Amino acid sequence: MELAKKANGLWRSWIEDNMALFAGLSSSAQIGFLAKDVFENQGGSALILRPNQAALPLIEEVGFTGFRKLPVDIIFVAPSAVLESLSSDNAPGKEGSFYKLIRKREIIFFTLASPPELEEKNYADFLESIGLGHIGTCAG
Amino acid sequence: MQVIAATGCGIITNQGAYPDPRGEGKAYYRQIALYDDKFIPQFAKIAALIHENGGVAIQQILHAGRYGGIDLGYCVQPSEIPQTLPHFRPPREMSKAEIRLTVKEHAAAARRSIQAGFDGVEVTSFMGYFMANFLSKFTNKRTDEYGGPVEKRARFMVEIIKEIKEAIGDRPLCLRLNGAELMDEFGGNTEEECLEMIRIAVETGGVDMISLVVGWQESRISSIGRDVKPGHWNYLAKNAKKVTGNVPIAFGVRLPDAAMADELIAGGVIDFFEICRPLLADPQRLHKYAAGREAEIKPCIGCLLCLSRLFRDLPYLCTSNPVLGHEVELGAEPEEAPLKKKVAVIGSGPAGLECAITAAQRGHAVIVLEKEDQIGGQLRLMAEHDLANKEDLFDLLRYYRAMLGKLGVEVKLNAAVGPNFRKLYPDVDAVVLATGAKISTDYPLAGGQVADGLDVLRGKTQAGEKVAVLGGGKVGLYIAENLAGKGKQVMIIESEQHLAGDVMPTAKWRHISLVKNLGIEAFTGARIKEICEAGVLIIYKNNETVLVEADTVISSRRDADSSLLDTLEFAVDELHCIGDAVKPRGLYQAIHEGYRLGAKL
Repeated sequence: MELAKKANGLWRSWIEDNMALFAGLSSSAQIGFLAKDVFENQGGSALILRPNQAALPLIEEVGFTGFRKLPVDIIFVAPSAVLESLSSDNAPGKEGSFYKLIRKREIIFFTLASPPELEEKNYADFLESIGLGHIGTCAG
Repeated sequence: MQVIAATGCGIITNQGAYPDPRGEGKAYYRQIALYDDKFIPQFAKIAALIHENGGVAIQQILHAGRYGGIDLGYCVQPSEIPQTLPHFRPPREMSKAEIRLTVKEHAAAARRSIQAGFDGVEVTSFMGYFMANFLSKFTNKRTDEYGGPVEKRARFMVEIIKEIKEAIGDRPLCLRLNGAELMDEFGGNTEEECLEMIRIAVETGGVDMISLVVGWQESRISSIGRDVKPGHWNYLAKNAKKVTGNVPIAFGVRLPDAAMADELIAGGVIDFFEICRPLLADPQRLHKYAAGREAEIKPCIGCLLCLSRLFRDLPYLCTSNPVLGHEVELGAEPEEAPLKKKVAVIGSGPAGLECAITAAQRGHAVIVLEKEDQIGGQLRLMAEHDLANKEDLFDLLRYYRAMLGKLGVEVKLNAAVGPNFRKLYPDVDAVVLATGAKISTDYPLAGGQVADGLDVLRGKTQAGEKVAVLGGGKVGLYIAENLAGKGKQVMIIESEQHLAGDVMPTAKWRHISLVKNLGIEAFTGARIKEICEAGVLIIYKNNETVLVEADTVISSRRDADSSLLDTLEFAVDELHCIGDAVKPRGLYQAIHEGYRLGAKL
């Protein structure tokens, strides 16, 4: 529980520092952020980011009992140690560190929305900027 | 299909057919189906073609599972595990009744294959398809008899083997199984678990060949691209051989070299050399190899244009082979020219060389005029500075050299063309301008200078320690990556919002990774205001003017180099322009335009 709390704090701090990344998403876009052990054990809490919804909290902590019940389009999952390295990275543009950690397979990504839904919510540029636009064994 | 049937392969496995009428197994548009007897006559034609050419005909059954349902908006899986790539459809967990129905459908598709005249059947669990979803502990979280430990996850595969053998009797059954999933971070099978699945398949009995494959579509590790060295995965075949006993192994993952495959077969590591993409690049490859004409084999450069198109729901094409997918209108081979001409090709980049060779194959007398002291143009320059596997591009250059020699194409080096062209070459009937692109250094200067990026790559211009590269397309990225690799501090200034806009999707990740890993700073969405003594002034985010400090400013912006069009307009009877000399693009367009012009001159 402590670990998850710490992970949520680290995710929150990273999100707040990198809000520019999410600027192009539509007002209905919702993104989940989880600690790896919460995801694997299907218990604990997750963060939901609603970057462009004025009527709802920007970042909300919600209980996590499985991805099916998480009302988000995509999910990022990382162990606390990786999140620590993400937040302590002083390299210019933390977007680069995020990208590297995705490439290194230390932050993992899931999509719950269908391709048309992702398109409708303007995810294409965002996913490309973090290296998820063109990925896969045939694409590297 | 006629071209494929005539490749000389001993066994030809036809494209995977989905077995279910619902289309849950359908992976891509235009995929063939085998869920009804009405399809049998069309499959019979394919089997007959393979047999006419002396091959053993195998029909693959491909249920895409996690990657299926292309027309449906959902996919089916053993368990409801979300997608890790944005272009696949949300999952739905299958009931036990649905699983059993799907097993029956596989068997029915296998039976139809044999009825159509195929000699045997292959079921693929390659790349994360349906059977792989059951085998993997990443996608199979079931708590019934189809999920749990290795033996229970293998149950679906065992049922498939048994049902199909019952349907096809003693006809051969091949299984395509992963030697490695490359899905560790998602909790996928380890290599040991993959081996265990192979062992179970073999011990079930009825499996006549294992085709060993590597990776899932969603793996973050490249398995078949240019950055993977040929032969890299051979160790997996060696490991698999330990558990397959008398069941032969077919293997060909990142194994484009027939000589290497021969060694593996001689060493008892594999039993059959599997080949796909290299045959797309040159369907005559095996015949040429058998005849000792290896130098004439057009190489697969591992660019993955084929798959990047396929996975974007487009018919696949090949960078190396302009005929692929156009066999009907272009013909499998260039036809003899009705009127033989003397053709001068100016420029020996890929467009010029492809055109020269194709024209020479048709009986034209061809001369290539190259202003530099070597052939290859920007293909050679890019090969020299490629940070993936240089040999892929050099192989293409070696092929061109061999073909120029074989066809007797005269090549003149250090032969810049000017207004005296007609005097020097009075008997030329047709001229092809394949002069490529040149770098534009036309920027607003305010005390600074701009260097030619290609000259930097050629070593004609030396860069300082703090470099600004103007343009984040493929040429700019090559320049930036090479300079950063030499320890220089490099910044890229790009007007678009993303780098690598002109890079093929399959290679984007490599460049973007290099940019991040080499610490190259990218200013995207930036407008250049002026080049000053201290560097580059740009209009950047929020319309602010920002100075990007640099001691060297390098341009990568390419303009078509078609200046000879004016010079030669009234000097020759027939004048053509191809490749980057029309508009700077890439290797694919250069080769294809070169071929198409050569085929009609």
